[in-house]
Amino acid sequence: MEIDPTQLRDALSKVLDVEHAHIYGSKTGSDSARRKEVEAVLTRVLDELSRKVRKSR
Amino acid sequence: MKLEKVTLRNIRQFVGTQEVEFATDQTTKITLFRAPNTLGKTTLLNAVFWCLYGEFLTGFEDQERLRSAEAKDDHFSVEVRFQHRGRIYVAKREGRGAPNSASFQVLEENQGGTSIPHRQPELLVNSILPKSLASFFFFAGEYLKQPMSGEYSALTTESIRAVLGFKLAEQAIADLKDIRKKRQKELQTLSAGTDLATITEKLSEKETYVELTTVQLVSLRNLVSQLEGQKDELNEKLRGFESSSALQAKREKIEAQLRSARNNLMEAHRARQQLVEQFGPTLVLKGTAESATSFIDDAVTKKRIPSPFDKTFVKDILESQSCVCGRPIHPGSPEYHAVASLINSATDETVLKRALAVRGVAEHLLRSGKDAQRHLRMTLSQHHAAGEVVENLEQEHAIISEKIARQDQKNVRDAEVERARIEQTLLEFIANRKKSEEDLYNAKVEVERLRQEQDRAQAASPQVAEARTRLELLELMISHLESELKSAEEKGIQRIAEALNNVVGRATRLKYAAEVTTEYTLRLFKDEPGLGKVPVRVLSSGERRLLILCFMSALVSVCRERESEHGAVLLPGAIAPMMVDAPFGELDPEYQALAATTMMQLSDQLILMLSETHYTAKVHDAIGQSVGKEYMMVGYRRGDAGDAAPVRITVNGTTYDQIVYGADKDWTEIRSIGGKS
Repeated sequence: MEIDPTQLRDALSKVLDVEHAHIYGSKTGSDSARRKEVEAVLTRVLDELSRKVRKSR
Repeated sequence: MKLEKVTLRNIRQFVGTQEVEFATDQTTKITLFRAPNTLGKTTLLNAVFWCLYGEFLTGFEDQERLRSAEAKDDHFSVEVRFQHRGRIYVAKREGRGAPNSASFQVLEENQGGTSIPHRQPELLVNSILPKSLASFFFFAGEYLKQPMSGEYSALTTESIRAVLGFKLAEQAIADLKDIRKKRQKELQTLSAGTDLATITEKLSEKETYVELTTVQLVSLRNLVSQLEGQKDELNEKLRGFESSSALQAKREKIEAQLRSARNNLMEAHRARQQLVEQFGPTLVLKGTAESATSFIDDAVTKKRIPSPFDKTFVKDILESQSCVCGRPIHPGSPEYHAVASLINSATDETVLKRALAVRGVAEHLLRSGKDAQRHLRMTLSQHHAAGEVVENLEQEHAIISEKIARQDQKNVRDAEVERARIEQTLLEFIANRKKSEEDLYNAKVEVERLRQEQDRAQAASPQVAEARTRLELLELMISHLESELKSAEEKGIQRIAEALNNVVGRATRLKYAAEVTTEYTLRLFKDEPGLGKVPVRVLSSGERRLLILCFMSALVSVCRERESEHGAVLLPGAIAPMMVDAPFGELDPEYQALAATTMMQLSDQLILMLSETHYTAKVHDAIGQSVGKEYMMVGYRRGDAGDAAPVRITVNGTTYDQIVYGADKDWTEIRSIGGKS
């Protein structure tokens, strides 16, 4: 699949922001709560990325 | 980060409120606490750690019982004042019930003398010294029990990866993989009843298998390392007994030969397999090749190949209805039939070419067959010879082991029984490890194949296609993170190895050199005259302890180097004080001095808690000049001393009692006794 590496990195950084907040303690919660939060962010970034992939096709 | 002061209120032995200031100068950076056991060194260390992170270090007992039993009220707290990048902060954790329900705040002191509470105190502390790194800076020597003996000493993979800042990416990968599993199930439901569903299910099973086997393999590798360490220790023990010393030395020599012989056998086995792969078809087709050449040669002998007549030539005569001599040949005439009958035996150029090509191939096969037989004979004989060497050495090894097991001394027999048990388990684990490695390799190949199959079978359904696109994007994200980590890992391990080598070279008498492999295994080497770099297999308990301290110091120095480094996926390092309780264990005085000097040189601030047996003259000579603040702990006890011997220390000519009897309660006082700052 063709995807611009910058777009991929941007998407990843949004996921990493959530993880970062949990590691450094600005957000607290169980592992499953964190995963839910990551999944919510991921769903949004995947929506965006797949739209871009469709466009490029 | 530098610690300036800690204030304890009703924390275990420290009844009431007690304050301790730490040395912060660059030249006199050590704060020294001198106290016999049970007076509260470990409590002080854990109090500071608890204040910053709300947790205790490994091994701290009765964690629920943090509040002093002798306290007049139920309020307890720890306050830590520290500086970081020119700012002053005060962290305070306090409570009235269980330690885990205590409240936490961090105040930032501004120049006007007022304090502002930080909105996210945990975040602040973690951004200065992440919890994942804190245990390298705050630790109790008693609990440093990493398996670090022998050649295959396993370093804690987790510590190295934490120091290299991998936690963020590792957690993200774990979460993304978890979500991927969920998405794969959704895709399975979407494509239920189709080929794609079956393939996706198989793929998911295989991927789970790969993940489980990878985890299993890591734990097997660690177990093997630990067992090898235990075996090395027993070898050392057996070498120490007079009756088994010579036999053990001989056995170790045979074991070294066995290792190399087994490697040779494995090589020979591999060569045999390669040969079968290379020449197998030749040998199988040998019979066919022989028949083919003999058939073609027979035809040549009988002049059937090549035929005296060419098919095209015969056809031309029939078509032109005229012989080469000019006579007409009419269709239906006996001459015409005679010429037409030649067609069956006439040479067809294509067929002739094919027959000759087949003969060429057959001839090549026969020639290769001869080569294959020669190679095979040679390889089989090498394999056989290597097998014999292994067998002979194994027999010799068994005879020596039996001799050791029959020694008169019970301690020798016991050590041998234990060694045999470990060796047996080790062999089983090594076999399991090998099997797991093979299984993992095959499973990965299968995953790759199934992925390709899945791509092909992907249904035309737009819904499935969309779900599949998202899954692929998710996989790209995971593999991007994994490859970033992989490249950081290679550089990072090199960096840890350099730091460790630097520390080890500085701190050991024996001038060892260290290497860290990509599997996070530590190897030590020393220079032997005439032999060059020789691996060090057995370490004394003192050397092992020193090595652990070197390892911790190396981690701290890499943390310091990485303080301002942070990439997109890596967490930064940290500069922080080392606060260490009873680090020396069984080190001899010279090594104690070396260890203390090393820790002092590698940290910006060192807080050392020692008993008198560890604060020897050599340690004092090594670090005394850098002690900025010095404290002793004095324990007060109810009742009288009875038969207990007095516990005293002498500092600068003054002798102090460290246990005082006849008090109204049991408690510990932290008393300043000097220092240079």
